[in-house]
Amino acid sequence: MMNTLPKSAAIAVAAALVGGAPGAIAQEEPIKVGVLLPTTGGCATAGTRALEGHNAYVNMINERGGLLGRQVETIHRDSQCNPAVATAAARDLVTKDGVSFLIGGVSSSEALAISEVAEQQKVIYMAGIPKTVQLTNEENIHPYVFRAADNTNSEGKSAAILADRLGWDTVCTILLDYSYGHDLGKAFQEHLAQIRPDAEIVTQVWPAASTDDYTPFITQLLGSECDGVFSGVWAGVFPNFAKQASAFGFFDRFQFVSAGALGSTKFLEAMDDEMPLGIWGNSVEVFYYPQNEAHKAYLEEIEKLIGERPDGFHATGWVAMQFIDEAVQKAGSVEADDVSDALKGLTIDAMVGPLTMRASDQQANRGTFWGQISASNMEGYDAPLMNPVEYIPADDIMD
Amino acid sequence: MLSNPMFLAMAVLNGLSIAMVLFIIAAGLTLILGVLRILNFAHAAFFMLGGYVAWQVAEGWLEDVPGALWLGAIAAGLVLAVLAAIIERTMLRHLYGREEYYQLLFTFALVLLLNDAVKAIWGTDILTISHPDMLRGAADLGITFYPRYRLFLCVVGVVVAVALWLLVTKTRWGRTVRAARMDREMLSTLGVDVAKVYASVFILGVALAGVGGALAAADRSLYPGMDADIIVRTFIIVIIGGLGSLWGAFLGALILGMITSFGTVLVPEFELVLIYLLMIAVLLVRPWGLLGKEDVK
Repeated sequence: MMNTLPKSAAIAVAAALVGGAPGAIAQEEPIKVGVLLPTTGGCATAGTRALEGHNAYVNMINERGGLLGRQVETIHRDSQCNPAVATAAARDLVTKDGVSFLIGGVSSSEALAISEVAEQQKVIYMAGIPKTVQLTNEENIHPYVFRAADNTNSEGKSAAILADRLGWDTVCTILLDYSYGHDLGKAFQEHLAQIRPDAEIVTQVWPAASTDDYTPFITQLLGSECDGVFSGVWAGVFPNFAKQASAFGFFDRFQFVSAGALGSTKFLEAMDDEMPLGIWGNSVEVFYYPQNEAHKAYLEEIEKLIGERPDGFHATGWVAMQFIDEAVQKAGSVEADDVSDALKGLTIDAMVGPLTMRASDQQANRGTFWGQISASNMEGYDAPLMNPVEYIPADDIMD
Repeated sequence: MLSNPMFLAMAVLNGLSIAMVLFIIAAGLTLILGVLRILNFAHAAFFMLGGYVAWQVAEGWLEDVPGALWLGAIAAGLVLAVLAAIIERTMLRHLYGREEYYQLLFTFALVLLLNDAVKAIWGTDILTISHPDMLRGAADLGITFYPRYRLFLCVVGVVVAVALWLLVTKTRWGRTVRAARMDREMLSTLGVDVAKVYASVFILGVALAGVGGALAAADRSLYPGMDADIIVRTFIIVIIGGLGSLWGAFLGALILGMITSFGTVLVPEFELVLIYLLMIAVLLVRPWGLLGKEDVK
């Protein structure tokens, strides 16, 4: 950024000297996008990948000639998965760096913190990862906050759809004892009661989020009579749970449907032959489905940047920036109020198919991919994948 | 559910295996506390480091090599022993006999340093080590089936307890250690190199934490900061059992393991509270611990 300033200043002076259009200055000024993603600390994996996805999309914009004829410049701040750090960094980005947009946050608390700054400073904030329904509920919504991510409602309710299809009449749950687990459990239970009124939840166990010994919970579930288990033991902590549960033959005994990105590519590659097969997981993106143009373009750009197959988290950074890109084009402006109006009801051609930012609550109808974790049937690819895999749309289940 | 003998047996085994892992850590802690009179806040951080060293060997360098975990555990013991020797010789020995808060500050600084070192070397992702092939799956015990690896951890706990007890009561080294615990000056006048005795106790305690960390790592996960919860539980065990008492630590670990296991099933909301209530009760009735001696200074 420091190198480009003197150059643009020189061009501006030259333009003024030859009596060129005053617009020349504006054309050379890049559009600044402030990205708040943790690249250190407990959420660094998610943050780093989302940042790569974002950068890949921005590269694509700049290669095609920019946005409204201007280059896009990303200014990244490490939010450390910490709401206080995120607040300070978001303020800095707006007041010192003069960014027009804020993107980011991994944890729900970060998202709520950034959203507050966005409201005060009247800057658009696009959340790409955080799932909490609180971000855009009646209490917290304002004209500048938008969510490109799926929420806990659509995730929990998708799982209920699967439970219904699998014919579960008696259900056990294992959910982590913090807001994500409770939100998921509520959504799952509500939707199951609606679509399968006779189904009964027989046992619920709530390990602490920091548990690393699940054995007492596993044995408790083994002692219950249920057709299937709904889990919120997400990918970050699942390896440990899987190891302990497998030793009991847990996955042979129960059908198992889990929220928390167990179908994510990088996760399955890391788990490899330790991954229990036959369970159901989800992911916001998988490289093998669907085979549409937007998805192909995404895969190509990402591989150009990181040299390998992307993960679901890459997709979150990409989709968040795509919404901003297309809204700015539609508005023909980077002014927050114009872009906010343009975003409401905007439909983009995303890698997962069309996504619409609902005008009513400023959330995208982002669904996720669900499937049964199976051994690879793809030539040259050994890690497990979701097969069959399907996209469960969010339109009817995100409230 | 506990009326079902199969799940009663499982709950007992759960409690036992939780207890034995915690005992291996608590044994080293209580040994160091009893002899050196050092409250080693960093003990669980050594346990964590042992796990990471084992991961490096078993998953990083020797993936898919049979027996890699055992090599990892040996490596963890050796690395931690060397580290302990360096720490003891260059820093810790200056703190013997000083006010407790110097020791607390020093060992707390070690906790921060070790955690940052782990982050710098292995990053912040959660790592796991696979069960060794021969201990995969569950064993049929007649009344119930139970994961082989956890049964193995129970055996290790008992072996460590008996070995340490023999070492302290039946060997010359053990007699010197016990003497050092009672009267350091007298021992020194008798011509025993007390500094060496202290160093050996610290090295043994830390190496034990390292090996324990390595073996436990194959049944749980590794992440920076994992030591925080463990050190609290380990201190509770040592306090319940009696500062410096080996069998006290064993008993304390058993009690805490059983409360964790049965508490999770019977009163899931209060499992953590139960442990603290127990500690408070012990402190009120027998402040020196269940098997401790009243005159511990």
